[in-house]
Amino acid sequence: MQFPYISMSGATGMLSRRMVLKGAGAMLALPVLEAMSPAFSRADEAARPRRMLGVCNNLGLLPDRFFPTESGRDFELSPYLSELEEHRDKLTVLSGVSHPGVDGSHSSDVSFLTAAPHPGSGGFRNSVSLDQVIAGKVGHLTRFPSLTLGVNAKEGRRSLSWTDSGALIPCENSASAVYGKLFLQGTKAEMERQMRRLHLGESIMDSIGNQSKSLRRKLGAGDRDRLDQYLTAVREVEQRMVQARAWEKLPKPKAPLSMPQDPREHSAYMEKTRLMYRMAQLAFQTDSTRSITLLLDSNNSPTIEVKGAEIRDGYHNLSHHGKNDKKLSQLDAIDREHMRLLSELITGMDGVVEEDGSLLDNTLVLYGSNFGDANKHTTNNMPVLVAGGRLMHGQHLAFDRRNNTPLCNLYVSLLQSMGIEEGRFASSSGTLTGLELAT
Amino acid sequence: MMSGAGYQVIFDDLPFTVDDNGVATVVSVSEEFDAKRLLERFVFRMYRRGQADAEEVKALMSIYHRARELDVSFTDAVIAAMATALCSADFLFLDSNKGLLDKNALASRLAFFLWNGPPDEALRADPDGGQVDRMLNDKRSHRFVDAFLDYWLDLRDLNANAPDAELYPDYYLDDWLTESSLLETRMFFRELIDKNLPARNLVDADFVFANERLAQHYELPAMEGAQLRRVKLPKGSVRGGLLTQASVLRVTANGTTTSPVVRGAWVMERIMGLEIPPPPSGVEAITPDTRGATTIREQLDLHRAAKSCAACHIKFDPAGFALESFDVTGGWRDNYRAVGDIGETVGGFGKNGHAFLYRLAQEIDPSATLPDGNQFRGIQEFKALLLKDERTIARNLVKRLVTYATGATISFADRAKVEHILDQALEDEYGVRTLIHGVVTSEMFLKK
Repeated sequence: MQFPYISMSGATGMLSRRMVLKGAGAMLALPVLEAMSPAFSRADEAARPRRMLGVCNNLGLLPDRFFPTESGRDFELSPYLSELEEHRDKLTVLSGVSHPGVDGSHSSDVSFLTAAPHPGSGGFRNSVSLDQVIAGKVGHLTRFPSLTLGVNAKEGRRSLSWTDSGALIPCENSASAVYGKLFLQGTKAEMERQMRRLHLGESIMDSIGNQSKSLRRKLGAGDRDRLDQYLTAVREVEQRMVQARAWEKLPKPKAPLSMPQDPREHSAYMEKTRLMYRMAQLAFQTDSTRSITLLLDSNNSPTIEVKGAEIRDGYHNLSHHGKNDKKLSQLDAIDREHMRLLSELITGMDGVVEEDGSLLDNTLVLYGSNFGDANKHTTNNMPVLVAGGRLMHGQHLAFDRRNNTPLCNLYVSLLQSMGIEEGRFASSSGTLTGLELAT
Repeated sequence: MMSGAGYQVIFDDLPFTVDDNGVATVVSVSEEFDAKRLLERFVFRMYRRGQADAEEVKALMSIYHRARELDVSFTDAVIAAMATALCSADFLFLDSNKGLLDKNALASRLAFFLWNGPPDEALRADPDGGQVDRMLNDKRSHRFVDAFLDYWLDLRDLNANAPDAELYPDYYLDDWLTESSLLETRMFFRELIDKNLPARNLVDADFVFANERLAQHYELPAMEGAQLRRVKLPKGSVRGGLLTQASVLRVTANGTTTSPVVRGAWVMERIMGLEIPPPPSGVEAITPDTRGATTIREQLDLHRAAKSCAACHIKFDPAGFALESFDVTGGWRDNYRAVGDIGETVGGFGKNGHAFLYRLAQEIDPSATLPDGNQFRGIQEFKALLLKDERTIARNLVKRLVTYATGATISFADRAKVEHILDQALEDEYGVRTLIHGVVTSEMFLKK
C-alpha cells in the first residue's frame, strides 16, 4: 500500500491534506491486521528475502588484505576473509565497484546508500537512500518503517539514511534506546500522554504546512524548490506521527533478553558494534522493522579497544598509516575484529528459525565502506560484502578495478530480489551481473 | 530548570512554581488573555517583521486551544504554540522577494550577515549602509567573524585533524595549542576589520596575535600567559598572514602527513581566488609513505612529469611546496619526520604518557617556480611574489563576503560590480572594513 502522493503545486480541486491523511488513517487498519497475523504464512509467495541491513564502516579496510586475488567460486580466501571461513558459502565479495562521482573523502559516507555525487561540495543535497526506498514499500507492515543505527555516529551530521527530500535521518547510537523502542511500553498514563503528544504534533505540522502556502506563492522557482524540500519534510513527519499513533495502542513483542547497558566511552567501539548487531537481529526477529542501516563512524572514534591487541593511536590517525608497520599491524587487528563480529552476526541470524528458512535466508546483509583506501582517501574500488537473502553465494565477483562498475547495480539487484519492482536506483546502469536468487 | 533570560522571552514576568522534581509550572490568572499577549509578543520578536500579524497569532492560538483540548497544561500549551512558530517557514527562511529588497528583507540580510542573528529596532527602522560601523562595533559581530572564518577557512574542521600520536607526540593532546590556534586566526581577522588594515595582510603581515604557547610554537621571543595579544614580528620572520598560521596549516593537513597538492590548491583557491578544476578520475592516488624512503615531492614529480597533469598542477603545487616548511600543526621544520630507519632519532615521552621515537629524515625543499617564471627559495619569497597582486587578494575576499552575505555565488554579470567595490577601496589600500562597506552598498547585496 502506498501513501497517496500529495502534490504541493497547484491549489484548486485538491483534497485538503488533513482529509487525505484522515482517510489514510482508516486505511491503516488493514496492514495493521496483516502484521498481527502469523508473520510467516507466505506459502503462496515465492521464497524471497524480505529485509535488509546495510552497514558502512567509514574508514574501510586495508584493501590488499581484504580483496581476494582470485575471482569466481574457488577463490582463495584473503587474510581478512579467512575470519569468515565458516560462512564462505553464505556470502559474496565484490571488487571493482564504486559510485561514479562520489568523492569528497570523509564526506563520502553519506552517499554510501544514496550514491549522490560530490557529497563534499558546497550546496550538496543528498538523495533518497536504499533503506528508505525499502521502507517506503514495506515500512507500513511493521511498527518502525526503518531503523537508523550508529556507533559513535556524529549526531545530526552523519548518517546512511536520507529521506526522499534529502533530509538526514539521525542515527541512534544507544543500544539501550533501541531496546526501549523495540520492547518497552510505558504505563497507561504514559501511553496516553504520548498519544496526546502525537495528536498535538500532527496539528502543529498541519498548521505550519498551511501557513507556508502563502509564502510559496511569492517565491521564484529556485526558492520554491527549497521550500518544497521543507514542506515535504513536514509532510513526512506528519505521516510518521499518524502511523505511530496507530501502533501506539498495540502491544510490543516480549523481550527475549534483558536491556543491554551502553558502554560509556567512545573507545568501546567494538563492544558497541557487537551490541548494535544484536539489536538489529532482534529488531528483525520480532518483525519490528524490515529495513535497518548501521553507520560505524570509525572516523569519529578515538583510540579504540580491541581485545587481544594494543591500540595506541586514534582510529583516523591509524588509517593514515603511511606504510608504517606499527600502524599497519594495529589496523590489521582492528579490521580482523570487524570481520569476526560480522561472522558472529551471520552465525546468530543463521541460527534463528523462521517458518520458511532461517532469519539469515530472509535477510540481505550488506557490509562495506565508502573508502576504497583510507590511507589515500580514495573512494573507488570499495570493499563490499553481501550475505544471506537466499542469493547464490560463495563467489568473488571481480569487476574492473580501473573502470569500476556502479555499486548501485548491486542495489537494484537487492531490491529486485526482495520483490521490489525497480529497474534503476541512483547511478545504476542495470542489475549486477553474477548475483542471483538461488532457485 | 529555566534560566531567567530564556524564561522571560517566553513567559515575560508571569510567576511560576517549581515542584519537588524541578518541574516548573507557570501561574496565570487569566490564561486565555495571557496566552494571546505572550504569543503576540513572541511573534513580534521572532518574525523579524516588526509587527505581529493577526493571522499568524490566530493560527498559533488555535494550536494553543488544540493543546488545551488535549488536556495539556497552560505552560506546555504556550510552549507548543511557540514551537510551532519556530518550525514555520516564515521563521526558518529569510524571506526575500526577487529584485530590490524591501526594508525588512534588507534589515534581515544585514543582521544575519554581520550579527548572525535578527535585526534590532534601530536596524529595522533604517537599514542601510550607515549601520555597518555600528554593527561591526557591536559585540554581536564576533559571530560574523567566527562563522565566516569557520566556512571560508574550514576552521570548523580544526579538531578533526588531531596530530598523529607517534609522529607528533609533542602536539598530540596539546589542547592549548589547538585552542590558541583558533583564537589567533579569529583575533587576527578581527584586527583587520577594526583597524581597516589592507587585504594584503591576509597573505603577509608584520604582526601576529600570540600567547605563551604560540610564541613557543612560532619560535618567537618568549611570552608569558594564555591571553593572546598583538605582537610585532621580528625582521625576517616567516610568520605573518593566514598562510603561516597554525590553524590554516592544520586544517590543510591530516594530522599525519602534509600534501603540497592539497595545501597548495587550498591556498590558491581560498586566498587567491583561483578556480581549480577537480582532479580527473582514474588517476592513481599517491600513497603517503612515512618510512622516510621517498619524499612527497619525489612522489609528486612522477605525476607532474606528464604534460597533461603539469598544466593544472603548476598553478598550485608551488604554493604547496613553499608550505612544506610547516608541519601538520604549522610548526617550522627543516626535515620530514619519519618512523623508519632513516635519519637522526628524537625520543622522549609524549603528553599521553607513552614513550616515543621518531626520526628526522629527508630535508625539506620549499623552492619552486611559478607559472610566470618567477622563482622562490621558500615561504618568504613566495609571499613576496603573491603580494605583487594585492587586487587579486582583495577581489577574493570580496567574493567570499558576497557569497557569505547573500547565499548566492557571483554571477558573470556581477563581475563588474565586484571591480567597482575594489575601485572604491583603492584609496584605502583595499582596507577590509572598507571592503565590507563596499559589499553592503553594492547592488549584489541590495538586490536578490
